[in-house]
Amino acid sequence: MLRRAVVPARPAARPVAASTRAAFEAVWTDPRGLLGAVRTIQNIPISRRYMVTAFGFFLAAGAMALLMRLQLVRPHGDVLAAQTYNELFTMHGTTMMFLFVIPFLEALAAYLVPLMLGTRELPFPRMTAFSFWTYLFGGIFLFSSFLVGQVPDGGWFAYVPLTDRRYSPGLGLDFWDIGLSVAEVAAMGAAAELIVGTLRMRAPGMSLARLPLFAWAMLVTGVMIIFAFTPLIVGTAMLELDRKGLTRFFDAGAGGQPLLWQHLFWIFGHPEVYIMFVPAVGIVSHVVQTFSRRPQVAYVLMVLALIATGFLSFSLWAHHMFTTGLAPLALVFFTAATMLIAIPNGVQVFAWLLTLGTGRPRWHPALLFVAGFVVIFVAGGLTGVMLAAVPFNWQAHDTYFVVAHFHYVLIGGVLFPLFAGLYYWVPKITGRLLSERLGRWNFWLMFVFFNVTFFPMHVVGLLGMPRRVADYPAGLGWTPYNVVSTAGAYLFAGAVLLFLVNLVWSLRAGPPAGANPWHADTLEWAESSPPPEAQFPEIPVVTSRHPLWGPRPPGLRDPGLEQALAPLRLGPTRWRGALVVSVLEGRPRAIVHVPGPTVFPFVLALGFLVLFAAALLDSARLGVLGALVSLGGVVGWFWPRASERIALEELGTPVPGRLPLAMAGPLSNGWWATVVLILVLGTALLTLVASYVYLGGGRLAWGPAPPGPLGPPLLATAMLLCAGGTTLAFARSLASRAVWWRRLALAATTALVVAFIVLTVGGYRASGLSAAETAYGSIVLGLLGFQWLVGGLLLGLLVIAQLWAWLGPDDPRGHGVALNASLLGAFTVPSWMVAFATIYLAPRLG
Amino acid sequence: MAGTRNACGVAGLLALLVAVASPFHARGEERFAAHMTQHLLLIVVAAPLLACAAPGALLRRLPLRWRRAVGRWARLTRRPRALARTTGAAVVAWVAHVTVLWAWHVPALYEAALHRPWLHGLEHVSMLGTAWLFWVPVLGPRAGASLGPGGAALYLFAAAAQSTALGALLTFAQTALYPAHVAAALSPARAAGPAWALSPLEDQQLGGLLMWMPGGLVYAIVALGLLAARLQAAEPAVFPRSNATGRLVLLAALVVLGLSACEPGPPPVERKVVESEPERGRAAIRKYGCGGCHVIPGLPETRGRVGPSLVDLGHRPLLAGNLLNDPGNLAAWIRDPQAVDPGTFMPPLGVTEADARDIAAYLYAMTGDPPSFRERPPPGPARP
Repeated sequence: MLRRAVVPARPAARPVAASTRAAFEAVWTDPRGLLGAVRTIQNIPISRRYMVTAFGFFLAAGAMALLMRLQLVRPHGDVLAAQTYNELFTMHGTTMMFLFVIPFLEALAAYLVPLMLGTRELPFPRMTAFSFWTYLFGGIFLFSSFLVGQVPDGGWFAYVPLTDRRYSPGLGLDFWDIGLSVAEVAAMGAAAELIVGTLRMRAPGMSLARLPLFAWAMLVTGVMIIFAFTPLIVGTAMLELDRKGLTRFFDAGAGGQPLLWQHLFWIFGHPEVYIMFVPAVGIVSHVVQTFSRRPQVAYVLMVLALIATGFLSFSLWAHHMFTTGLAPLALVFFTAATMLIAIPNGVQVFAWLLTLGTGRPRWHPALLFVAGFVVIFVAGGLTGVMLAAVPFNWQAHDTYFVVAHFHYVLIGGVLFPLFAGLYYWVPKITGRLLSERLGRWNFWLMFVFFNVTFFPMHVVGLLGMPRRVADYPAGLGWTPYNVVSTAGAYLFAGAVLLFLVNLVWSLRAGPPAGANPWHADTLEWAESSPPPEAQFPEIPVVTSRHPLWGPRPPGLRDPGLEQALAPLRLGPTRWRGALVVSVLEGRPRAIVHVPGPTVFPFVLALGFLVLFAAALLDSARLGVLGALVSLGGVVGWFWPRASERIALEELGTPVPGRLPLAMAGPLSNGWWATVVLILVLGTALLTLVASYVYLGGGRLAWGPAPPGPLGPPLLATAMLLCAGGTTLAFARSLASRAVWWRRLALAATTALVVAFIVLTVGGYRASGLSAAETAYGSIVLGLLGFQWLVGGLLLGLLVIAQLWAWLGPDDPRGHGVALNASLLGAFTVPSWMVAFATIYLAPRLG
Repeated sequence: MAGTRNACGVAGLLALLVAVASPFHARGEERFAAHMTQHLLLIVVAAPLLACAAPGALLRRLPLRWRRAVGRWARLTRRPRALARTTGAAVVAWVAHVTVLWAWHVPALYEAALHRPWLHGLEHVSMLGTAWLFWVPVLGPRAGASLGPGGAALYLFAAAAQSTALGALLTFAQTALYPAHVAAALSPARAAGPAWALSPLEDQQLGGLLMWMPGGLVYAIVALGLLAARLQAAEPAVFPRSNATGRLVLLAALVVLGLSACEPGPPPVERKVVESEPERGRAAIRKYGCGGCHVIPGLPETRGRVGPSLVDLGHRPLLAGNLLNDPGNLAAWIRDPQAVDPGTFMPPLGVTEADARDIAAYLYAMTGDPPSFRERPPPGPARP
């Protein structure tokens, strides 16, 4: 196989002064020391921390599983009290799902995707750091429940009414609710980052048709996270409000619906399975391709299969609810749809097998883990098809058969690919090779003891042993299976720890990895291991799907491209600059400023932690403190930076032939972040409207009476429409240079949005509804509260934009925020129209 | 390519014919699921196929003078037609289509259309028309002018999402929302119909599920097909490869399009308008105020939460936890609950024998025949 280093955009004939190189490297170097540690925001150090933290949570959750297995080793075990057992299975599931798998995969992607795409950074480095800190604080918050002895014990799904305040008093479930929300916010931030990064920040020539499959997988995962986590956040917010006694969404006595929680949870929960599995598909494709030493078979079909998996996963949630009394007809359709997802999964498995079969495989431990993955995952898939059949599902529901099934799917489908990825990419991250001999032992021991642990659970489940019960009677023939499972679990844990042994050995004595130890094809292998802090001092140019394989293509020395990219060649030297390309073709479009080290993401995350603690303890003082710290974080975050002014001075004036500097509008990353935010808000709105109709049993008009007079909401509508008009006027005014007009438009918009909020609050008050008494009042308040939230966000952006329009120089950056505000303003109008029609018009239509 | 587009046009016209001039239409007035199938034929089969068609090619067969007239017309309308190919126009088409779709499912409008043929016609024309406008930007001869491939994918996935949402709401609704279909199901002819005839609620669920799954899938498959074509075209093959992928995708799309058209409606049933037992039962339920404590299918004003919801009564094996679910027992239970289960909260309301039987008939008509009844055709006497 021919192998070439990546082709630089410009031949090395023209050398760069050593001082330039030093200055360029200095600008990308991260600060050292303790303060430096909290100021670092670059993707590589942050994602390294992220992965280490997530692995720590993985070990903690594994230890909980071992305790539970010890309890179950014999009938009437007395290792754990029943209450402790409930707490452990809740925390085991929650930690594995929310604190290990998703964060770890997102961190791996945050490390690798920019390298694979040939760019220097993720689009929002401050967001990367913020995500990490909120995730860390959220995890600590959740685990601090052990310190106060109020551990969540409602299962990782927290079904109401078990988890409402009557049946779960105390703080345990509040820890769960709030800690989870924090982790969700972190996951959504990382997802937005990956979506925009993959779509916008790539090497020239890296078209969508040349995107590495791991990047495709993470793009699909990011989109799924955005659409799946939003209903869960809405659901957990409803649950927390119910627990505080402020609303009655799930209280059947007040007209609420406990099943609504299950719908909201599983609309998230089923895509969640694929959110974990799709990145694994990406990892496996890279490992298979590299160690088969040939390109992946059926690339296009693989991409389509990833997208189809993501799409289908949103139609399957009800198959987790087969025993909740859904309509029998619906069950038939859900069974069919569940089986449909076997088509894309089958395409993937066959494509890997064909790649292996037509290649020359080298059985590195990474490839062994892939082979183990295929075997275990197919077994888990088969029990999945069994469980998709409704009559069987009714029998096996809540038995150990289900436990066996989803551990086969999750350990087989996620953990084994993840270990394959570790054996494949750890040398890139640490710069040292892992031991292949230990790796082989690691694989075989994990594979064997995994099956020893979980296979008996199928049998004992069919014999009738229920899940989530700390005790079982003797004499039912269950004991031998449980003994085997427990022994297997401890040996499996030992096998997992063997990886740590291997890692420590590699860090101390492993041979240096070199840039590309596996002769792989993607760009992360083009740079040294570990990669330099600036990642790509010379912007690479991509001309095929396998940049490091095959002969150098002709016609690369394009003088136009060379001139366009000139500022990025070992530069800029006084600020961090990166390239933005067109979404589809990967043509260079603009240069963007990437923020450097800052402490404010950390401060904001700290403020959030205090706020959440205040919500937990109902403490107003803590709340004020948290709000102040958060406010400080936001102000610092958006404060103009010296490097931005320098960037504007250097590249602000357009030069023909050179790429423009993008700081505002559709070329800037902030604009794209706003688009993602609008997608999130739109999903939340849809969730609330669907909840409204669901609570009414399918009817639009189900309240006691139309809620209050039409006057105030109609007036509010008029205000909002006017605000839409003034934001448009503002966007128009950017072209003409009339500063006073700009200020006027912004001030008018702000005033109109404030009036809108005041009027809708008044309308709610006049309706005489009480959220604390009826589910109807709760959902009306929910829909209105959402409008207030969006309005508040818009006001925040408008205030920042105002500051810039009045105080700052006439600077495109201020316009950037203001343009984003007008985009969000454009969303508030349809958002309110939908809420208005649901709350005020539908009851009148009948 | 022109040949394919012409074939699409012909297929679209055929689909249109099947939708409006086949038993679907007549069945649709009685059965919600048949009506939804008809709508799906219009908006996800006929409309996309017609949007693919390029009738411009036919112009070449016209006499010269006519072609000149068309040319003048084309020159005059160049500006508006260019405007119609902008992204804004595509977004307007999306919003218009979705608004039309959701509006016609509002019970008041839906009912009005069923009772007035001209309004029913308007319903179908507006659905087909806006659906055609919706599909043109992604499938029309000048597709790509208004939406890039990424935009097209988002456009289609958003459409799939709203189709899923509407379908899911109808599927999970706990009452029959459309009285006309309830009345059709209550007609005595239904008793003479096949044993598998659906209750009004099941009928509504089937309609919702058809919209949810086959309907939603069409959008997704078209989006995937467009993306596949784009990816194939963008990157030359490194290794020799047949065109199998493209064909497979096309085949899958056709199969799904075909399948979504294959949903059979129930066989014809004669409608007779006589006052039936169930109709009297509905009046009796209102008279005794059962809705104060129960949710009762087909009576939207009932939302009592004291007693159990009766929407799935026909599927329950037992009544009051100790009686076999059959008409005689149900009537006995309704007449004197305390005799069956002393201490139950359900009060004796002095229901007459005839009223109790009518109420039972109504409830079974709405929720399906009880399990015990299916095995024993003649309703037995009340068991003590």
